[in-house]
This record gives sequence, C-alpha cells and structure tokens, in this order.
Amino acid sequence: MEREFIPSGEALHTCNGHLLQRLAQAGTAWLEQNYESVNALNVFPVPDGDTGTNMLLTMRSACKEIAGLNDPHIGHVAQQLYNGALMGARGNSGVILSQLWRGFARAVEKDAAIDSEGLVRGLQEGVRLAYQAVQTPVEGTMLTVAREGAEEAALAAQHTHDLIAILDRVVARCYQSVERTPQLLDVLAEAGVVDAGGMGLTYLLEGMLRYLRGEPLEVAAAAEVGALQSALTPEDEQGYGYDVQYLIKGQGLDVDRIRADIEAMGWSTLVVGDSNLIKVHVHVHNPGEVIGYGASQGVLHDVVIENMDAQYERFVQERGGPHMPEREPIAPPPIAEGTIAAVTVAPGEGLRRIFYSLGAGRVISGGQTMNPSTGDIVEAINSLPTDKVIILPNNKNILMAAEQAAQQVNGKQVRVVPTQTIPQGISALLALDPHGDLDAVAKAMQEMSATVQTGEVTRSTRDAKINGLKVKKGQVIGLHNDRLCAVGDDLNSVVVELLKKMNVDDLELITLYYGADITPQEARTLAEHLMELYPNHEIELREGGQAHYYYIISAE
Amino acid sequence: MGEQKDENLGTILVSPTAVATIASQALLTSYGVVGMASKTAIGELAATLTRDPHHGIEVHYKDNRLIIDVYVIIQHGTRILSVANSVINAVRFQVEKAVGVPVYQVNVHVQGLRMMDERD
Repeated sequence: MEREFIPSGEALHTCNGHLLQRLAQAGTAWLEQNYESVNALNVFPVPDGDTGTNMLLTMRSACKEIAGLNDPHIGHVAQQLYNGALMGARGNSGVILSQLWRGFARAVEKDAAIDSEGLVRGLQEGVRLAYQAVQTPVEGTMLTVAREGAEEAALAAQHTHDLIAILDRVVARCYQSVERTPQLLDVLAEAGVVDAGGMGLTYLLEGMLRYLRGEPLEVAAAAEVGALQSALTPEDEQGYGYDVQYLIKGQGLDVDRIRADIEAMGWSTLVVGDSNLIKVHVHVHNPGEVIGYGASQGVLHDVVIENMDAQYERFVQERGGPHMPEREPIAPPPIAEGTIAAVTVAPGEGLRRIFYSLGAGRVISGGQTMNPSTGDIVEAINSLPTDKVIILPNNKNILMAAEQAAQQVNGKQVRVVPTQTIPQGISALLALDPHGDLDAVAKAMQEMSATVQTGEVTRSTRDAKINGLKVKKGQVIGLHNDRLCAVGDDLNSVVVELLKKMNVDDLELITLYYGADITPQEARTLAEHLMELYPNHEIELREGGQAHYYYIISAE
Repeated sequence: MGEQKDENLGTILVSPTAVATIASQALLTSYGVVGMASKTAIGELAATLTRDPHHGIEVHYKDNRLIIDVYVIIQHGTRILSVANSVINAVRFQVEKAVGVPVYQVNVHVQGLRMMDERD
C-alpha cells in the first residue's frame, strides 16, 4: 500500500478522497489481520458463514471498487466504497456495513473534503440508515457499537477538531461498547462471547486509526510472512530444543508414573506401553536429563536424538526459500459426456489434489470457515460437460447450498449425497461408477460414506462445556463424527485419545490428513507412534493442507 | 395437520400457526427486512383489515416435510441476495431450535423494496 507520510503527533483537520481511500484500505488490512478472531466469536451454528470473513469480503469488494481511483473528492470515493460494499455484501454483518457506508456517502456526497463536523455527520448518517433497514433493531449487536461510536465522535468533536483525536475516542468507545454487548444480548452472555460484528467494525476503525498514527498494519506480503513465522516460532527463547525418543525395556514398569516424570521434563510428550516395554517421545532442551532418567528405569533401546533447531532452519529454508519447487498445478481429470461426475468441496490444496486424483469432476475450495455459495456450486455443475452430476458437500453447513444448487440447475440431473466430513466424501467418491444409473450410484455412494469413521483435531476457540468435557480456550480438541470426545494440551496425546474413542480396533485402515499448521516431520512422528500403537492397522499419512484442523482422520 | 413427533407417552403436534409465530419473530429482527407482504393484493387487504400477526408467512407440510414461505419487503440499497440468505438462515435456525423438527425449505419471496429513506 502506498503510504503518505503523516507526522506522528501532529493534528489532522481535513480528510479528502485520497485519504479516505487509504483509510478504507488500512481498515480492511487490519480487519484481515484479525478476522479469524472475529470468526471465533460466532454464536449461531447457522450456515451464514463467519462474521469476520463476511465483513472482510465485503470490505475487499469495497476496496476493489476504489482500487484504481484517483479522485480527491471524498464524496465520490465514499459513493464508490458504498457501491463496492453493496455489491459484495455477505451475511448480516456485511449488509449492515454496506448501510454504514451508504449513510456516510450520502452525508458527504457534496463535499470535496471533510472536517470534524463532516466526520460526525457521516458516522451519524451511517448509523441512522443502518437502523432503518430493520424492523426491530436488536441491541447488543454491531448496530449498538456503530451507534455508540458515532455518539462518541459527536462528543469528542465538541472539544477538538483533530480527526485523529476524534477517531481515537471512537475506537476506544467501540471497544467498551463491544465489551458490553453480552450484557445487552443474552445469547452472547450464554456463549461467553462478545458480538462478532461489533468486534469486526471496531477492527476496521482501529485499522484506520493505526494508519493515521503511522502504526504498522502488516498488510499483504508482510502478513504472509508473519503467519509463517508465527507458525514456526520456537516455543520459547531457548529454541526448539531436541526431539528425544527411546524404548525402555524392563520389568514392572509404571507407565503412568514414568509419563508424569517425563512430562515434567519437556513438552510434546508421548509415553505409551506396558510394564515390560515403554516407548518414550519428548521434546526437551536438555536431552541428557531424559536419557539419564530412562536409563534409571530400565534398559534403553533405539535411542534417537534430533536437533530440532536445525530441522527448523532446514524447514524454513525449504519452505520460505526463493527456490521453492513449484508443484504441478491441480488439474481436474477429463470428464466424458453422458457419464456421472462428482462436484465436491474441500479446504486445502492437498485435499483438493486428493479428490481430483480420485476422479472428482470439480473440487470447489471451501469448508468450515468459507462456505461456498449456491452460485459457486451451480457454476461448478454447469462447467462440467456432462448432464449427470452428484454433489458431495463434505460439511453440514454446505448441505443446504448443495441442495439449493441441485434445484437451481436447469437441464441436468443432479443428486446430493449428503456427506458431512472429508473422509465421508472420499469414501463416497470411491463408489462413483461414472457409467452407472444415477440414482443407484448415489445410493451406493451414500452407503459407502456411512462406513467410515471421521476424526477431527482442532483447537478450541473458546471456553465451553460439551458432552461433560470441559474445554478451555486454546486447548486441543478431538471430534469423533462431529462429537467432542477428547481434550488436552498436547496435540499428539489428543490424537491418541481420539483414536481410542473412535473404537478403531475392529477397523483396518487409519488415514491422517495433516493440515497447513503441521509440518511433514511432525506428522511423520505422529504416524510412527500410531504404527506402534496399532501394529495390526495400516496407517496412511496424506498432506491435506486444510486450515484450522491439525488432522482430519478417517478410519475404516 | 401439524408436525408430529412421537414420544413415549403420546404425540406432540406442532401447528403451522405456532411455526409461523416463531418465523415472524425471526423476520422482525432480520436485517434488511423492513416489512411483510401478502402473496396477493386481496390477501394484502385482508391482512390489513384483520391485522393478521402472521401476515406474509405461509407454513405447509408437503410429504411430511416442513416448508416455510415468507413474503417480505426489503430495504432498497441493501444487497437483496445477502438479506434473503440471512432470512433463510434465521428462520430455519429459530424454527429448528424452538420446534426441534427439521425445516425442509425456506422460500423467500421479495414482494417489494422500500425506497423511502428520507431524512427525518
């Protein structure tokens, strides 16, 4: 983003079209930095998608509209922002946001530049229009936050004409207002969250304020590097330390006590076995201590010590280096006319690749946090050169869009096989017979999808108590067929616990699809442990590349 | 006829009117929806005369599946598609939460736009 130097500490008395343009971009950039935390505040499990994502997409559409603009007239720029927000409005929060811009644009339409009075007028008119578009405004939502922010602007403008000082007070008031939303709206209080739309709006305004103060926004390229670095940041200043693994052979070994002792020495602990043989895996800064402890318990075998800092550096070089090998692009397989083709939805490049390799006709990008629209699915169906199509939504939030799409397509026979998870979708796809009878094939795919057990491992976004399990924000959780059944602080232990709850003993094949946050090395380490735990099972490891979910596990 | 749920001790019947009441509450707080409308002009007149609280909402069961049709007026200058999608989600969610039966379809009929947004 091009940046005009604004000396810090100096007052700003007017804002023209050029500045508004950059403010909108800055607000959007800051929202982009924070939209996931907004998503985490979702209360209703409605397929509306996520508030943060919806607001971000709405603002991106607004920014796209003003991207090439070189107009100093603030009225014109505001009008374009509204047009873009209107066209791109997604979800309730996006529609409300577009109304705020609409009011702002109307209030300043004749102004080439605005002062503090214009800012207040713009905010107030935005709020007024936003309240008009609903029969019964609900307090404790984004509307409340916008209203209180505008009120604060009016109060502040009585004392100062400095736009930065006014915006500073608006942002502070918005934060207070967001904090108060659970007191106004019971559903928020019950869920223990604040209003997501209000939070998103606050981030948008805060981004503008940060820009005016010359504070970093970490946009675009910087954001990607930031995400990569934070994903790879050593757990503490001492670095990653060492990965230590060994077997203890002995008699009357106390697994629980040894596990507790090892856990106290390091992290990412995995201690499994019986009284005669125990496998230990742990990350520590001081490998000597762990080795010594092990030797005091029994005879050590297969000792492996790896320097993880070196691994980390190698990994960063491979991943972030300029010579990163380009992977072959994902290409859908050719679909013959008159055959049955599958349209499916998957997050992450790895999973999309897998679906294509299994013969899916089209794989739409999407999943837990980004639900494709009915239109996306219709488009995918229409792009196929055949008139017999089966949709695999792979997520219960996408089921409705899939069913709507099936009804909307003209001139094609479309069936929905209501798969709710990625493993179900993969299993169903295996039963796809392109030359069969459409209904018979759909039935066979449905039956096939029912044979697979799905496990998902992710991180809890808030405190909760579900199925008698207490979960703290940030803990790792394991879901079996969408039901919470394992909680813990250590990722690998949760996976082991989850597999126990999934009753995989009678099954044969366990497939792990590891997500974007997991390195291939971490995934391999886990897979090796699972091979030892389940010597009679076949364990497969595939790169899924999905966000948010460390592992998606299929067992069949 | 209403939606049936068989329980151990008897049968629970939920009438379409009850479903419509819940749907109307969801619509009142749906962002972008500024009013309800009838399917036909005569219906509109009747609703005005009777002050029907479920004006603009039709609930039917077809093949034992619950279908809700809503006839709404939307604020001009909002993205109609987004508003309608939110209506579908809100009605479905509120009805399913309150009644506990799956909603097969929510159809949104945009009967008009409110242009007026005059300055006070």
